[in-house]
Amino acid sequence: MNKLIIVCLLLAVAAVYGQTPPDAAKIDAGKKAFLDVAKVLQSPRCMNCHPSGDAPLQTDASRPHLQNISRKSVAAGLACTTCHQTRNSEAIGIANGPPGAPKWGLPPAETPMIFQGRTPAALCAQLKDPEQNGHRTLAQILDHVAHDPLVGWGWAPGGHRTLPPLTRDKTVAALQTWIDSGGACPE
Amino acid sequence: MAMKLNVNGKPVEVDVPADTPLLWVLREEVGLTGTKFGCGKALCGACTVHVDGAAKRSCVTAVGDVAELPIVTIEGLPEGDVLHPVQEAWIAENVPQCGYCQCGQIMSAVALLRTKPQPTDEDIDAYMSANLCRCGTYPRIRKAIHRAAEAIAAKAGGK
Amino acid sequence: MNRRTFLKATGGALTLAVTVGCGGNSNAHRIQHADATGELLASLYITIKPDGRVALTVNKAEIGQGVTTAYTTIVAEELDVAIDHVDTAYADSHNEMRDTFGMQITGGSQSTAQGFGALRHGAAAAREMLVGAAAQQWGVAASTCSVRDGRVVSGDKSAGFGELTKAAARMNVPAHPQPKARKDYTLVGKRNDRVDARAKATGTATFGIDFVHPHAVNAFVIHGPRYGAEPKRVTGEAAAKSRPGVIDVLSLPFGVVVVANKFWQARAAAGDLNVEWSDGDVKGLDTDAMQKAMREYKDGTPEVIDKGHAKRAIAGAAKQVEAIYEAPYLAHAPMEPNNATVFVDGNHAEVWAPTQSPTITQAMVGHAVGIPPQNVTVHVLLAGGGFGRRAIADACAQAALVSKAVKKPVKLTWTRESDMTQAFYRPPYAVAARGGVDAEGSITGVTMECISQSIPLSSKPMMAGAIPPGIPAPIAGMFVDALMAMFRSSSIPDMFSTEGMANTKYQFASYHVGATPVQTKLPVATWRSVGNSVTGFVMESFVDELAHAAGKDPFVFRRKHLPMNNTKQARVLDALEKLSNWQPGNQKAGSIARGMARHFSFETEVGEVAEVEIVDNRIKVRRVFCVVDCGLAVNPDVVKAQMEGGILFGLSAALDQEITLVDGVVQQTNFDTHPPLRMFETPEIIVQVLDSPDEPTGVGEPGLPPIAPAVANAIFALTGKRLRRMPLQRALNEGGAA
Repeated sequence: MNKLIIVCLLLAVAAVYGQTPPDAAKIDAGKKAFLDVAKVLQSPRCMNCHPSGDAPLQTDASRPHLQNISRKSVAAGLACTTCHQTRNSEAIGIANGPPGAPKWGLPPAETPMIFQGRTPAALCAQLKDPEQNGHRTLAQILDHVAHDPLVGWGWAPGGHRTLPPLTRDKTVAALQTWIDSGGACPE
Repeated sequence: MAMKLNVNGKPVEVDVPADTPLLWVLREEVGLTGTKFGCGKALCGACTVHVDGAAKRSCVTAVGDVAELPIVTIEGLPEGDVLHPVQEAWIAENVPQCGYCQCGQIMSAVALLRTKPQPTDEDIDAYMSANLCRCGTYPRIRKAIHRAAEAIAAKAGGK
Repeated sequence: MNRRTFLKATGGALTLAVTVGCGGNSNAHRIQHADATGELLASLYITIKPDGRVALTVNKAEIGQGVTTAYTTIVAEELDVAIDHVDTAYADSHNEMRDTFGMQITGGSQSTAQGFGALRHGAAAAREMLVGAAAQQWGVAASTCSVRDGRVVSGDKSAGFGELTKAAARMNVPAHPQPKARKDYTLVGKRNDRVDARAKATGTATFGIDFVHPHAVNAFVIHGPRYGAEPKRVTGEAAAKSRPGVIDVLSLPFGVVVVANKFWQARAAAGDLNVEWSDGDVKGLDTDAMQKAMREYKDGTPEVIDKGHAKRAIAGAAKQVEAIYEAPYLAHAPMEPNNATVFVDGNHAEVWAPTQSPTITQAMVGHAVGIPPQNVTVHVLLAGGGFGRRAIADACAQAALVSKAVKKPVKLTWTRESDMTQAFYRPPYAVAARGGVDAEGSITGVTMECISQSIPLSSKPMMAGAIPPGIPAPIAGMFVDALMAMFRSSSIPDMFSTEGMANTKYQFASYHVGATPVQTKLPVATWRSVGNSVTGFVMESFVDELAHAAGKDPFVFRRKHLPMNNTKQARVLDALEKLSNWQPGNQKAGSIARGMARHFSFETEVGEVAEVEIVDNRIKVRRVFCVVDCGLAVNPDVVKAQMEGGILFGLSAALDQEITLVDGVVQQTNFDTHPPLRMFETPEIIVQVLDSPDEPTGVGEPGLPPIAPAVANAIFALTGKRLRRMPLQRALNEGGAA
């Protein structure tokens, strides 16, 4: 029964994209690729700005942001850009200061795109759900990962920050494989 | 690099590398020392100024990034001899002790009140926790912000 | 610096008389000065100006404690002028102003306690001279004259202070001036605005770091990774020197210094340098291992107090309690980083600094550049927090060395990282406590074995400051060396380590206190409330444990063991119980529990009740009730602010702060890793300042000691776990003791 629903969904997705339905191999490859994508999403560099609560996370330990920073701070007028500039503080000679990239900030409260504490299946479903992803197509999501400067910071974070487990190119490729599978979600 | 700044409504010319932190340009080139050096990396808020109306930690802001924008420091907050209601509230509540962090606290509080003219305690916690005070003036800062909010509202209502 | 014990220990050799009245001004000089300038030099600290305004020299540093407001209020009260009729300036280094332990120093919560006597007598003398002059001119009895709003009035005659200065200078200085009675006060004892609030709310207050010497260059210091590390090899100098504004790169014993026209030019150029460092003084120092060794120390400790047969009394008691309490190194971390401007010009030096002690600054600068301390002039600037840190003039000494090298005035500014890693820290402690209670619930005996690093052994440069001026350097040096040797051999006890414990107000049937100094080469110093910052935690946690063992309410148990006959202790306990609406036997309500503690320090009693909750394993202090008896409160609102400040400074340390070292490297570098409390975790604080019959006593520090034990005792009431090690959050994370 579940499988039937998934097949129907996939067919619907495929219809939207006007593509031929992916074959089983593509679906398997897509599911597998998404597991890699999930690891990237849940690396500190991505997850710290996609937390389960309202507070962004910090450091490789992904602890809540110091200074009681949360969406409530932003709502009260304390923009992330009060401290986070368009580039890391090292660029102006300040070691271990605030990291920076263009448009530093959290996803909107209405579509928080939570990466923290989610199973790969849940991440996958969230990523595809227009209600949750800000009505983005999968292609737009791919574009966000491939070209958004803030997302790109995650792969060039500077300092001693760890990198996501996949390079940006490989992450984009894995996402493409996933998209080619029609957005097949791992179980 | 020569550049033109707009500080407290006045044009100022400075000749510094574009990546110099705004804090040190204000303190050493413009001669405005109300903006303080506390931590050097946006952990304490003592260096808070307004850039284009929003709070900014000047210690981590490259001067070249704000050259085109209006900058306001604590010295630019009063209108002539009339102190800003937030400054008046600070005096009325006897907020300052050593006073070192207070210019940054006041600049933050003014920015908070622009977004939240009647802030709740939760709003104050969410905004003002980014400014440190070692003397422990937080309870008075909270009271002063509420007092200033009332004063601003009363003034607006009276007009 | 403490205080009576210190004076006692040095046989009073370092005391100078407190300068009251007209010290320093002979009658002839006073008259000559008045005739030439129209100013009445009423005392060393009080001058009446020709325009009638009062000029007050404040011989203390304003570090936020409100001394400027207090002193102004006292003088305005006695002279019957408005507070804003008094103009203040901070005293430069001055031999006749060494009024505390033979030094000019701000510490020991002494400022108001001390100034209250000296200033009101000085101001009363000025008033009597002005009145006497007016009475003489008008041919009336002085008793017909009154003073108000800066004028002397008698019947229909009236003269402003400024009109009377020349005649007043010719009056005899009253030997026994009569200050006002307390009942006649109109300013003292009332809430008045702080005199420095406006300048501090407008950015016009000039702190040390804001001082601009017109000819000064700026210095940026790269300190080594370990305390005492010296630069061995520097590379990249050519690149650094080629940068705009850079004047020089110097290798000095304390670090590598980039000198430039502007601070940021120096700071930026420092990035070009690579430095190889010597191991320094503390390589191998590991605080985890040190703390373990202190905790497990079993040898007998040299005795400080021995009353009765405590060990026997404990052994024979119905119930025995044993506990070990611990506390880490801490940094003061005032908001204004360490800085100084110094000009060494041949055999003289001039210093502009946010210092708590001109005298120690003279000693340390003089020692650094090899000139007599008397040749060092110190100008005291506003300090962005002190907390004890600014009694140490290390930045001044460094700036002096740089100035000597570049032959220019030098402004030297540390980074926050240097401020945190090159500090003089609060000493670490381990205290083994034992006690017994009898069947009636009374304490039979208590023993405390206290192991801590000795502040006196780190204080040689400061000790040197206490030598009276005029003593030749070799003799002064011998005196200091002898003093240090006596501290090292414990023949003079370390007066800081057991203060608040050895001199407790508790009247135990038998009591033993031992103290063993631990030596490391990491320097330690006085940190807000000094020894009391730990002994308050130890004493009040342990008394709470004993109360629990005795099955007694904490208030009831304390009353049983404290002097209750019209004492500060009695007044505070009574008021605190009422203010907090304490319910005996009912310390827990829902998710929140209460704990109480009290402590007597700097002659002031403070009691606190803390309400604590634990949310997601985080200790949340929701509300604190505080009652203080500090004698007469010159400005009760400033006292209240100092209680709030002491509580929050103490709570930051109690919950989260510690300085740890791994192989001699300090692990905490900025406010992210040595975090002060922030707004969102600040409890509601309700302070009651008691209307006390006594003279003013300390205020800046006594609010701090009770907060840590009040919180720890609340956590016990909440969870049944004793947290005996600060910081408490780490102790909780690591399990605590059930």
